[in-house]
Amino acid sequence: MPTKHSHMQYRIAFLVLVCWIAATTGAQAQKNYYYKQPAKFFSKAITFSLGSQGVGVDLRLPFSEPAGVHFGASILPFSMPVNTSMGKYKVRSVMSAEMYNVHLVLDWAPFPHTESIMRKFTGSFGAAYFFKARTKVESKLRENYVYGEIVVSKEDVGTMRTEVTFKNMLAPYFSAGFQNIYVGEYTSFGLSAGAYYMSGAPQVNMSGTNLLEGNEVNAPVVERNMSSYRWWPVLQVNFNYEF
Amino acid sequence: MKITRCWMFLSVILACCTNPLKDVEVQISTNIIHFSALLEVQDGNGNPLSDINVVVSGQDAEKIYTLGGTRNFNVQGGILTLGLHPDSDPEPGMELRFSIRLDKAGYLSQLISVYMMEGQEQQIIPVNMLPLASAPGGVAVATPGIPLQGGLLPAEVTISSGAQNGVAEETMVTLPGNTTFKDNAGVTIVGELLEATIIHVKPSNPAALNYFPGGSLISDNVIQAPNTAPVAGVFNPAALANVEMRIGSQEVKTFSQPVTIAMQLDPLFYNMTTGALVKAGDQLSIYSYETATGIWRFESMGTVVNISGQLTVVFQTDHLSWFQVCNFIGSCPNTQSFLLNGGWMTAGIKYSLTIEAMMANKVILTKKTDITTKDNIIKINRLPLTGTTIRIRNETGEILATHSLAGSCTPLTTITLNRPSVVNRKVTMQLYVRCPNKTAAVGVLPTFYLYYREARPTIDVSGYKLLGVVEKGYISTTMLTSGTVAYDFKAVWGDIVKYSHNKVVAADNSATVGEGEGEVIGVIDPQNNLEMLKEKCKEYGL
Repeated sequence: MPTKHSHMQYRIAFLVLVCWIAATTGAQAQKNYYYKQPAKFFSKAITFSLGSQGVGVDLRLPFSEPAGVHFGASILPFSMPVNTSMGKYKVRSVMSAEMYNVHLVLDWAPFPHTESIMRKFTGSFGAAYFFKARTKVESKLRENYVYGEIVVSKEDVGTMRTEVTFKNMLAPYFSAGFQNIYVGEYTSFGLSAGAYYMSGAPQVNMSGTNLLEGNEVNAPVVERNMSSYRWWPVLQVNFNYEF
Repeated sequence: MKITRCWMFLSVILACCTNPLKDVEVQISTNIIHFSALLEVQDGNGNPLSDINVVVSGQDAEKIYTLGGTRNFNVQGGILTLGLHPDSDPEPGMELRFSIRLDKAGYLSQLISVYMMEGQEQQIIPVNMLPLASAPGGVAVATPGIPLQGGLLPAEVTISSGAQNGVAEETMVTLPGNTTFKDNAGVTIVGELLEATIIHVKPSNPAALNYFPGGSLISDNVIQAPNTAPVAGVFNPAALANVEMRIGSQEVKTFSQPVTIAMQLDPLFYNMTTGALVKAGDQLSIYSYETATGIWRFESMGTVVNISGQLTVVFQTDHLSWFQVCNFIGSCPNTQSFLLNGGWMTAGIKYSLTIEAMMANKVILTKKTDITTKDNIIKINRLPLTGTTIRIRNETGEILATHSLAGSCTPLTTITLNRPSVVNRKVTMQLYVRCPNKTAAVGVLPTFYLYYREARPTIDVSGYKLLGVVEKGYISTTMLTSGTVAYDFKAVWGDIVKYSHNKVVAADNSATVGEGEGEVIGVIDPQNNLEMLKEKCKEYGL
């Protein structure tokens, strides 16, 4: 779960990323400005993306001189262990997510003819349909539980499962970034930062096994706390193969 | 890689302001112990006893804790809670056993054998400790004193329990002249006064028979001389007596020469060997019992003689203990299960029952339990090979079934319970608990035993009957009359016994234990209750 500390890390890392984008795209602009001057900003390309929405593949098509459209799918399956606390108990949690979507996005390069870095700047707007949007957290105690003089092993205490599901599958998307950064004659890459807005609040289900049974009463509390959890930041890099 | 994962995770957990775990209270259930036994310790007059010294012993004693998870065994409000360590839950076909010794000044000590087996997670065992100064009807207690000369009895003396307190029969002990008295180590005791306690229990009096040593006529610790290995069996006593003597502070265990004991028999004794009422010339077994060991030992056979119109068995012994003249019947080697049905029973309701196993018109074992239409199997071990009858009463004492077991050691018997004369409407009770300074009620509620009685003055703590086991704060029952009758309740949770007095119940009742408006914190010692609530909430991190 994000803490104040992790929020700060997030912000610092974001600033570093933006600076790096500016530096690298600026260098590429100096070097390749006269070499790559397409009639249309977006070329017909297959795009592979990697980022916080997972991995994806898209087909990109030019639309007009400054605009294009890309559509495709991305999947985010991941699992990671973290140590957290719940109340007075230290827990070891395994968090996993299954966020699968198909999307259609309109891209627009507002300044394709300027000579600065801004000629690579693009804005995007679209929507995704999430056919699966679910995160699961499985938590177990990190230490044995002591009841009177009886020591109950942490395994016997049981597992608490928390499942967060977005039931409303349609999510508007917007982002800004830099595209068409030169790699080779037919290849380029881009960077973008944006967000999905999940149009429905998440639903939370909790269940416990063994001695953690009954903790499902916490589900409405978590659901209330997460009711404003709508924005899903998307940071990604994409590699384009033009044809 | 880890950094990448963290980024992905942070992205998935959509950035926002509220900690998702704010106000989340993780609770670990207190229902850690799966097998429990509740000893209801009373004085035989319906009064619960406390301040009792408790010692747990036996082969599985080290696995036994209180329901609070400690080894600090205390009888509170007449209740001793015992629980099995969850790592030792019995497998199918396996039985755990241990003994509870109860000692209290002014009362006869008891050693109770407790068994735990798969399928019997909860059991309630009634235990009666005999108050020597106020024995109930059916028990004669005499405490004669005999002058000695430097520890020597100068001339023959006969002492008796006396015909008293509803007991026409007596136990008489004749000590020959020149007898000296020895302690447990065989050392002669020197003193000027021999203080004796002779207790004669009338076996045909059911209340008196509750004092039977070990709490049940069934024992798995019977040594049939000349064999030395204990066997299991069931007694049918014709006479039962306890003889104790002391000189000063030292207990007499043996004598320099045999003493003669004459035990007058209950004329209502049904001799299972002859199939008729006892008569002169019958042969009966004589057994002795040491409370310290819990072992019944065969002494000899005795012939019934008629002395002055009283059927009597006379024998000699060189030691003191409990003695009985009886039939002894071997036990079934297998567990016997009883499936209890009743067309009048409603699904989801708990019915509190008393199960009595009987032989020769005597209750040989009493169990209290609650059943539902789904959880309705009772298991009993060591029932006699023949002659068993199962009698089932409801909480008011009304007999719902009397079933003679036709076969020998039948593994499963179905018993139909007759409809009680009064079946109340369903009453449900739901208890919630809210910790101080918290908005939400506790989600994980304890399982505890709940007793009830019709309301009485609070100073009177007797007469509570089992309402049932409240599971996760909820119980549904037909034992209470809603709307008109005021009840007192006694709840036993772990080591804690709490009372709630003079409550009229509705059909559906819910209450929240807490300090807020409209919540319940109790009228007896509310400050202590609140402190206890705070302490427990703190203990469980709430």
